[in-house]
Order: sequence, then structure tokens, then C-alpha cells
Amino acid sequence: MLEVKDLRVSIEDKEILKGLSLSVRAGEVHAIMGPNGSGKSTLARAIAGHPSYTVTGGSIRYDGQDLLALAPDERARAGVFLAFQYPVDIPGVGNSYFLRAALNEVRKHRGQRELDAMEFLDLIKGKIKELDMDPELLKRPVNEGFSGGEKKRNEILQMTLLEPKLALLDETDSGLDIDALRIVADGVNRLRNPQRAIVVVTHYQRLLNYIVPDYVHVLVEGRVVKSGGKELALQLEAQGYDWVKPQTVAAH
Amino acid sequence: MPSASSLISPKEHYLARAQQQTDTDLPPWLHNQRKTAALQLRSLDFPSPREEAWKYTNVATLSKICYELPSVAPLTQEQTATFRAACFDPQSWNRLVFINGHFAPEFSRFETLPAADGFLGPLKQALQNADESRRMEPYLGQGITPDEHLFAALGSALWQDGFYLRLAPDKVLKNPVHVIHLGSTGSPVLPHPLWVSRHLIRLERGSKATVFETYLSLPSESGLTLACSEVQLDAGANLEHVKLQIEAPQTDHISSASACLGRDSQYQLLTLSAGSHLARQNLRVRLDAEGANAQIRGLDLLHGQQHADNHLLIDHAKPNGSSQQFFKGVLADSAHLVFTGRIHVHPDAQKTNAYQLNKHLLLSEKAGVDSRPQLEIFADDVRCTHGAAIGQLDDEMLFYLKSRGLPENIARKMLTLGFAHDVLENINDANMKARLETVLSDQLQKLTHDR
Amino acid sequence: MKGTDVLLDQDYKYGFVTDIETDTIPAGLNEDIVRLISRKKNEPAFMLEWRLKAYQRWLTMTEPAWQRVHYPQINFNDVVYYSAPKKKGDGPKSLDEVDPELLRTYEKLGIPLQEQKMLAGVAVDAVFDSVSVATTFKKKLEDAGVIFCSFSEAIQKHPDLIKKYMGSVVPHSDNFYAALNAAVFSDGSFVYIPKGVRCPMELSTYFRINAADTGQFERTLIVADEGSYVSYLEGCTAPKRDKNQLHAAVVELVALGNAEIRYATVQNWYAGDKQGKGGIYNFVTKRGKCAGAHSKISWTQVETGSAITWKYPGVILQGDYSTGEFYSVALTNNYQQADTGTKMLHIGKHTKSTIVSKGISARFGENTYRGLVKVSPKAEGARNYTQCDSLLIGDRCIANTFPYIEVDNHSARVEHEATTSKISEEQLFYCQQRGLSAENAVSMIISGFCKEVFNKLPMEFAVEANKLLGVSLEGSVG
Repeated sequence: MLEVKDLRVSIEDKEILKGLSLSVRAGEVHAIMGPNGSGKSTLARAIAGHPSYTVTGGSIRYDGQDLLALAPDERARAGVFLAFQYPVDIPGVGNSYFLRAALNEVRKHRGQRELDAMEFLDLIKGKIKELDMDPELLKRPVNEGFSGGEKKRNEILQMTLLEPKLALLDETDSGLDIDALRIVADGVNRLRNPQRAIVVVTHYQRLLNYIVPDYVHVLVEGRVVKSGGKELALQLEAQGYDWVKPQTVAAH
Repeated sequence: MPSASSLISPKEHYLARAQQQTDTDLPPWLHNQRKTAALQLRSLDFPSPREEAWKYTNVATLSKICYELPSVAPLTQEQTATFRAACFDPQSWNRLVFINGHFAPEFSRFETLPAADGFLGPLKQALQNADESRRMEPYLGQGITPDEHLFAALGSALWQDGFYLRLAPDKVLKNPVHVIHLGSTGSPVLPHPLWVSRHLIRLERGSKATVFETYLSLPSESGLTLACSEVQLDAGANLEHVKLQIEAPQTDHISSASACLGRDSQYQLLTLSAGSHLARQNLRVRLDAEGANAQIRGLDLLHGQQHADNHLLIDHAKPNGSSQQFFKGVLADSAHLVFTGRIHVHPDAQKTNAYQLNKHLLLSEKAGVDSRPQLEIFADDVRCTHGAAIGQLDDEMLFYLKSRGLPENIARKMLTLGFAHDVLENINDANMKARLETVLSDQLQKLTHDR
Repeated sequence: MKGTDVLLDQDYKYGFVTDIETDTIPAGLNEDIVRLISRKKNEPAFMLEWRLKAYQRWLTMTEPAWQRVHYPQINFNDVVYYSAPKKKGDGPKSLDEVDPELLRTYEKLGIPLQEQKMLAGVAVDAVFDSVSVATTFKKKLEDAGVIFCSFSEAIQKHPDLIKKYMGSVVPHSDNFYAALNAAVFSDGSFVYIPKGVRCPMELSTYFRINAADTGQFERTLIVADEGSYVSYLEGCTAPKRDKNQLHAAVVELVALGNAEIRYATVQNWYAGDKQGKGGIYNFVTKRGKCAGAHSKISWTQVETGSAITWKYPGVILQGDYSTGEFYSVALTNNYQQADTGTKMLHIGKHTKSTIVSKGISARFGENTYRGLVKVSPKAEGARNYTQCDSLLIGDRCIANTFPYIEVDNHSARVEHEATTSKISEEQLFYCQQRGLSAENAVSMIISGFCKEVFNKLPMEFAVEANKLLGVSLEGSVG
């Protein structure tokens, strides 16, 4: 479903990803781990098409098409979803209004009927309950005045609503207490199915106890230096990142 | 006023004084500058409240007086005592003292910098040095020009002396400089002395200094202070600058300061004004290269009939600059405070981050504030914010303190001190901070006396 | 941000010209013209006197120059001060007699004047160039005791009210343009709400400039007697013309004890083309007086049109415990200029004012907020809260914020906050990541930015304003 080949990405002329390759098939869950500054978030944001990140080499193919040729909203409508590490505030724009507008854009793209306000409300109420969110959050402006945990849950809420084919979770565990983490992970797990791929970007192994990955990749200095099964995450937790870092990387 | 000078207008009087400034020892470029200033003086009038920049400050009273330049004279005992009280600076500090605008070597002590490190000393002395004079020429009189208003022209045409600090690249001046300006009638006794000084600070690339200025006068004085300071910070330079104004209640104070900030340089200015009958401060900071930062803070503590006017322009000329302005005023009796702060962002100055806050506390019924926080934005990728708040002590807080057993007057003093004190928070030097805190608490004593 | 470009570029929809026979007087201004206008309107002597007094005063005044707008010198002798659709006989007694061409014009503007087609609950006074052509729902309003008619009709039928209140808030000598208006104003709307009456429907005046070279000088007076309530909305459009046209109106509001007036403007004059050619000069004096205790006046304005907007709807808070509000969205796109804001004059005790101003500048637009909050020595316990936000779209636009705060009473509490920022890349990306097009994302962010103001508009007009803003922004950033 997702084929990243030799990807090079720069931000303000500084190269962050230095030839990264990654292959994700439908139904799989991949975890991207790595020390701070290794380029994990850059990868997620570049796939989603953030304008600050310049792709200087390599390719990203998604569902057989060239993802890099699409605008960020086209990628989103094609089923790529990014759960932001730091969701931004949008003052004055009601959360519920925003969610409905986004959902209807996606539905339109899929050839589905747009939902009216009442239908939408019915749909969202159920989802809100699943994530144990305060329904009041729907009335507030997008992310404004939300706590860190509320913002993260709001991201997952959007994801369950938009039903993406490829979900990228960027440090979704940061800032969550253990209960919130479990709720968020349950939300993600409910979305697991043979048609959907999930890429989890995380610094810690903790989240992977709840969202168990099929594959784990270790990113160091903009490249995948090691890939393996879920046991690799445990090994990293126990031994840190140093053992994957040594000269082999520099010599690559 | 029945004196000989009342026969001619104050402007004619100043023009005559400007002609008499025959400092033949000044370099030719400066001599010309003074002549130009005198010409400007001729074409300018005293500012009127009809002008936007002087809308809330009326200088009519002082525009009717012929202030006179005092000559050099030995200090009386009383003057010496007043001066001593202001000397909080420890032995290690540099101290430059100016009495009636003239340098007073007998009270001063400061390190003589090797030529390779820069220069520290009185301006006139520095001008004797051909090398320094040449270095000064592009800066002295360039930040504050005589065409701005009549007082600027007066300052340029009549200044007596001032201090000059230049630091060579990467030089760090370890010991702070304390500059004391003492105004007194001098001898013979003048009813209306005029104290005119001019200062220049130039920090070359990567150099660093701390300068503390005190303006004071004897309690019985009724003179006029005109002070001009120019600051030039080259790339990466860092200046911490404090100005304390505690002049006598019948004096007037009009000062102009202009700072030009080079790439990644840092300018921190704090002004604490508690003295003078009328005090007008023109402050202008130009962020002239990328990445410069200016932090300008001010605290006005006014009572009686005092009137203070802070007039600021923060000029963001280049990208990635940041500026913070933080001004507070505490006003008792019939005191009046004016704040005008403009943030101007040029079309080039993308990614500017500018912040301004002015907050004023009115302690009495007759006190008043006029505030004009202004934003002028010609670039789009910026973040500029300003806020203003005028009010009195918070009843809830007052109640809280009283409910813990504090009497009303103590609670009020405590809250007032709390309100004012945070302006002083970022002062690094402990001696400086202690001095400012003393002035603050002395002054608040006057402001919050049980009425 | 190509999304903004599409959004900022849309055409002005109301730029058509109505072909109609008019009664137009020669251009130019002198005492004879003032007399002629008064004669055409068959005015009583007191009106002519007042006009002449204003004209004499105007001759001694100079055009103000302190505002941050730039325009070529106006030659007041090139302006036509009166133009009206030709009347058939004595003028229309009912809508059936109104020229069908005019009715079609208003229909095209989305303001059908036939009552059965109208939005229920909104009565409209339609002003076409210099005169009021129709007022709807008169019967229903009369039953409630409400007077809603053209200013000309009020002068004939209610001279006592006119004498008492005209010029009581904006005197004939107030400023250059107010004096000009007092001398030559041709029509406008008049509203009187009697004691204790809650006006049963929204009142609205729709101003249309049609004739070329004509200035529009209307005058609106709204008086809310004790304990009454009225909500009023004005809308304005004009044809696209290459030459600038002058609109110098005066609006006076008087709220007596416990009365409330809500006044909303959706201003959509022709703004000129993309190069800044043509468009309306909108130099307007609007002021309300909270004359009685516990009275309230609220201004809401959405300013998207006109080449230059220059106005400061203010409130004189004279009655104790009175309240003034100002909610404004001003958009300047292309070469539009706006210098607008409000004046809140706190005179009575425990008076309260709120100011929320949202300025949007796009392309070469220049947007200035200028406001005065003055707390006079006797205004014990006065409160003001001001918030001014500017949003920048494009790197050649200008946003200024010039508040004046004058406090002479220690028990006052005045707070002012202002921000200037652009739509952040992160906000746009976030919306796009959820599948919204750049264009939709920008319009969503802008309407979010303006929300506090739109919330103050009557429902139907909030929708209208939102659309208008989307339209005015169409296509702005590249």
C-alpha cells in the first residue's frame, strides 16, 4: 500500500531524511522508533505533505499512485491520515463544524452522500462515547483550550470518523496518562483491519504494549538502521538506542 | 518673571547661547553639527498638544522660561551629601560623575581601557583623541537628529559633556559603569539651570557591557534636564542599560534615547522614573539587522502633580527580530501618566515577534492615564501583540489579604509593591536590583501614605 | 497559498446599472443648490434654515487629513448632490405604484420588496440614489405604534420629533463631512419606537447608489423611547464605475432610559477593481447616545466594500449604567483602504463598553483600527474591554492599530488587547490533512477569526456576511 523508496527530505536546507525506504502492506501495523531528532516525525509529516518539508530525492507511492504529486488535502481524501504530535488551535472554528466539513469532503470523494447536521451528530455521539470524551469538546473551537490529552483524543476521534486507509500516528502517546493511553490505543485497535495500514511513530515502547505492531523499524540519522518484529521494540526498551547506532551507521 | 532674560524670548535666548558655544577644541565635524543644530533651532517651535506626538503633554510652562547653562563650580556640602546618597555602587564598579553637565573628575573613578579594548570616559575627553573622534563621527548625533523637535535641537546645540563607551570586538566589560548626573544651581545661583548632556555607547561585534545611569538633583532645584543617549550595538553585542530618574519635584526632564541594533545583538533597557515635575522620555529602538532582540521595560512611580510621558517607537526593520515592551505605572494624588508605544514592522521584517504590555494602577481619584499602544504592520509573517490595562487594586485580592488578618493599608501596600516589582525581575546584577528596590519602596511609601 | 487566490478574486455581483429616468440636478455646491434640494423636498422652513446654517459652517471647515487613507483631492463642485428616479405624479402611495424597474433592481440585489416574497420579520426602507423609493410592512409597524419611514416623510409628518432629535447626537458642526451632509442630505430612514414597545420585526434600510457622479448623502435617525427595543440593519451596494463616488452619511441613534438599539451594517459598496480604480469613498459619521439610565446601543459592522472606508461608529454613554458595544469586521483587499474603529465616551456612572474589532488585510489593502476610549472624571466605575485582531494575507498588505485610551477616573477598569498575525501554515496544513481544500481551509479559518462579530448579527445576515466575506476574499494570495 505504501512504498517509500530512498526518500530524502530537507527542512530549511537541512537534510533530515537521508535515503529512507519503507514498505507497508494493507492490514499491517508498523512502528517507527528512534532517538530524538532521528527523523521519525519528519517521515510522517512528509508523507502527509507538510509544506515546510522539501522532498529532495526518492519516491513515495501509495495505492499505486505517486503520492508526492498530490496536494495535502488530496492525500487526505485519498485516505492518508496523520494524527499530529502537536495539533494546532484554530480559533473560532467549531470542532463539530470542522469535523463534519472534513468528513463530507472525504465522503464526497468516495462517492458517498454528504451527511446533514443531524445525521452527523448521531454518528459522532457514538464515537465520542467510545473514546470517553466530553461531548462539550464538540462545541468548542478546534483544539482551542484542549488539554494535551484532549487534543490527542480529538485526533483519534477524527481518525475513527474519517476511516483512512493509511493512518500515521505521530507520537500519539506523548502527554497521555496510562488510562488515556489505553483508551486511545483501543480506538486505534478497533480500526485495525485487513484493508487498513497503520504506522505508529513513537519514542517509547510503552504504546506498543497496547498497539502491538507487526514490524518495528529503527530510525537513526534519517535512515532505517534496523527492522524486525515486535520483540525489537522490547530490546530497544531494555538496551536503549546506542547499540543500533554504532559505526555501521556511519559506514552505510 | 522679572529678570533680565525676560526681555528676550526663550528661543532667542537659546540661540544666543548656541552662538556662544565656542568650543574651538571640538573636531570640525562636530562643530558643523552644532552649527546645523543651531540653525534647526531657529526654524522650530516648542511642541504643542496639537501635534500628535505631544497630544497629552503640554510644555507651555517650561517654554516660557529662559533656562541658563551653569558653569563649573565646587560642590556645597549639601550637594555632596545628595550625591553620596546615590552612590550605591561597589568599589569595583566604574563611576563617572557629571555635575551640571560637566565632568567631575574628583568624584569619578574608572578603568582606563587600553586602546585595543575600546574607550571609557567623558565624551569631550574622548573627542581629543583623533582616533576616537574619527570612530565616533558615524554615530554621534545620528540617532537623535536636531530636526525631530525643538528639544532635540537644543540638546544637539548646547550639550556640555557626557559619557562615551566603546568596546572593541568580543571585549566584555566585567565591571558595570555607573554614570551619575547631578543637577544643581551651581554658582552663581541660577533660578533655572539647564543641564544638557549627550552620551554615546558603541559596542562592537560580540562585546558586552552593563551601564547604570542615575539622574538626580537637589530637592530645591527647579531646572531642566535635557539628555540624549545614542546606542549602537554591532553584531552579537549585548548591553544591559538601566536609567534611574529621581530628580527634584520642581525640575523638568526631557530625554531622548536611540538605539540601533545589529545582527543578533541584544539590548535590555529599564527605566525607572520617580522624579521630576514633568518627565518626557523619547525612546527609539531600531532592530536594524536580522535576529536582534530588544527588551524595554519601564516603571513610573508618580504622585503629587507629577506628569510623565513615555514615548516609544520600536522599529523592526529586518527579519527575525523580537522585541518586548513592558511598562507599568503607579499613580497617586493628581499624577498623570502618558504612554505611547508604537511597534512598526517594515515590509522586509518577516518573522518579527513583537510584544507590548502597559499596565497602570490608579491609587487616587484624581490620577489619570492616557495610553496609546500602536501597531503598524507592513509585513505579513509576523506575530505582534499589545495589551493595555488601567485600573485599581483588585478587590478580591485585597479581600483575600484582609481575610488573612492584614490591615487594609498594609494589604494595599503589599499589592501595590507586588504590582510594580515584576518590572525589576530580570535585573541580573544584585547591587543594581537592590538599589532599584530601595527606590521603589521609598517611592511607594510616598505614594501610599495613609490618606 | 493558492487557495486564498481563488477566494480573493471573485467578481463583485452587484455592479450592474439600472436604466431608469432620473431627476438630476446640476453638479456643484452653493447656497442655491442647498435651497433647491430643500425646495424639491418641499421642506418646512426650519429644515432649510438648518441646512443653510450647516452649509455656512461647512464653508469655514477644512477636510480632515489625520486619517491613514490616501486619495486625490475631491472637488466638491464636481459632485451631483441630488438624483432621484423620476416620479409618476405624486410618488408611489403603495408598492404597486413603484416603478417595476426599481422593484426588479432590488430583486436582483436579493431584496425583494413585495411583502409576500420577503423574509418574514424584516421591514425594509429602500433608498435609491437620493430618495427612499419604498418602505415595506408599514401597516404592521403602525399597528405597533412604530414609525418607520423615509426621512423626508418624517420631516413632513413628524416635524416635532425631527426638531427634537435631529443633530442632537451629531451636530451640524460636528465635522467636515457631517456638516456637508447636514447641508445637502437628500433622504434616509427615520425610526421612532414608542415607550415600552418592542419592535415586532427587524428594520432594515437598503441603500443603492445608481446614478454616475452622484454623491449619496443620507441621514438616518433612530429614536428608542424609554424601555423600547429595536434591531436595525443597513445594507449598501453600488454599480461598478471607474470614477470614485462619495458617500457621506450621518447616522444618529438616541436610546432613552432602559431602551436598546442594535444597529448592524453589512456594507458592500463597490470596492474598485483589482488595480484600485473606481469604488466608493465611504466617509460616514455614526454615533449613538445612551441618553437614559440602563440604555444600550450596539453597533455591528461588516465592512467589505468601498474603496475607502473611514468611520467610527461611537457611543456617548451619558446615562448611568448604560452600555455601548462595537463589533466590527473590516476587510481590505486589493487596493482598498479602511481607517475605522469606534469612540466610547464614558460620562455616566457604571457605564460599560465592549469593543471587538477584526481587521483583515489582503494583497495591497491597508487596514487601520483607530479607536478612542475616554473615561471622564465623573464616570465612576466605568468598564471597557477592547480586543483588536488583525489577520494578514499576503506580504504587501498593511495593518495598523491605533487605540487611544484616556482615563480620568481611578475607579475605571480599562483593558485593551490586540494581536496581528497571519494564517499559519500549520493551521492550513492541519485542515488540508483532514481533506479540506486550501480554499475551504482559508475561508473556514477567516470565518472563525470573525466569529465573535458574526454572532452579533441577526441570523439571516450572519449567513449573508459569511458569504460576503468569502466572496470578497475570493482569490487573494499567490
